[in-house]
Amino acid sequence: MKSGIVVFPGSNCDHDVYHVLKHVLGQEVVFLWHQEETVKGCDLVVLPGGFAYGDYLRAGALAALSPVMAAVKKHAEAGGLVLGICNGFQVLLEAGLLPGAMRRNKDLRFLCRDVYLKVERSDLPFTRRFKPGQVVRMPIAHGEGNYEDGPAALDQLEAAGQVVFRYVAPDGTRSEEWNPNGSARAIAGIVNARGNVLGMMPHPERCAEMVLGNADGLELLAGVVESAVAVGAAR
Amino acid sequence: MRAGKSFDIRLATDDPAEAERLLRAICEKLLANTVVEEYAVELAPPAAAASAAVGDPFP
Repeated sequence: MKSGIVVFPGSNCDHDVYHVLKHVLGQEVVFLWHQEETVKGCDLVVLPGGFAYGDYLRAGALAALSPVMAAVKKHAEAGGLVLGICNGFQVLLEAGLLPGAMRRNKDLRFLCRDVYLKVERSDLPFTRRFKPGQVVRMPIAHGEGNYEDGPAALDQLEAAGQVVFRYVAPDGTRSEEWNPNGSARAIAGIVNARGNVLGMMPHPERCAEMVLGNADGLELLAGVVESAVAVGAAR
Repeated sequence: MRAGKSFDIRLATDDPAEAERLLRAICEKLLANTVVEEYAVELAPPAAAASAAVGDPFP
C-alpha cells in the first residue's frame, strides 16, 4: 500500500499526514509535487490542508487547475481512493470531484478549535472503523468552510447518502449552535457517489496520537489504509 | 447586499465576438465559481478600457 501526499505551494499539513501514515501506521508514503503528471502508482492520494497557491481568487481554485489534479482525477475515475482534508476538500470542490462550494464562515472569522462530528456513513473505505452514528472529536482550522449548494442539490446529496460527517453537539444532536461555520445542513464532510473520494473540513491527522490528547482521527486514517490495502489487492 | 470582484482584462483581439467568447470561458473555468457566484462580462474598446482602468494595470 503506497500513499501519495500532494504538495501545492502553500500546503502546510502535508508533513502532518506524512508523519501519521509513515510513522504511526508504518506505510510507504511519497510526496507528489503539484507539477507531477501522475500519482506515481499510489493507492491512496491525500490532498492536505493549507493555503494552496495562497488561496488566491478562491480557496482551492488555482490548485484545481494544477497538473497533478488531472492525474488525481484519473486516479479517482479508476476507483482509487482520494482524501481531501480542509484545503484539500476545497480543492476537490473547485476541481469538480465533489459537488458544492465553500463560502466564508458565517461570522467571517477564521476558526481554530475542536468540533464534534456525527459519522453518518460507516460503510465507506474511509469510515469503516467507526460505528454508525458515532460522535467523534476533531479539530478544524479554516476561514472558508461554510459548505453550500442549491436546495435540490443538497436534497440529492442527502438522498444518495453522500453526507459523511455533520457538525453536532457532543451528544450527537444537531443545532446551529454547534455548527461552527454555518454549513448547509451542518455538513462537515461528503463523499462522491462512487464512494472513493472523501472531502472533509476537520483534520484527522491532527488528532491521531493519544500523546496529543486525541486519537479519533487515527481511526479514519487507519481505516483508509486498510481499505487501500484491500483495493490494491483486488486490482 | 451583493459583494464581488471585478477584473480588468486586456485581450489580444479586437473581435468583440471572440473577446466575449474568451472572457466567458475564463469566467466559467476559473474566475467565477458558478455554484455560488454569478458573473457578467462587459466589453470596452481598447482606448476606453485603458482610460477606465483605475491605474493602468498594463503600463
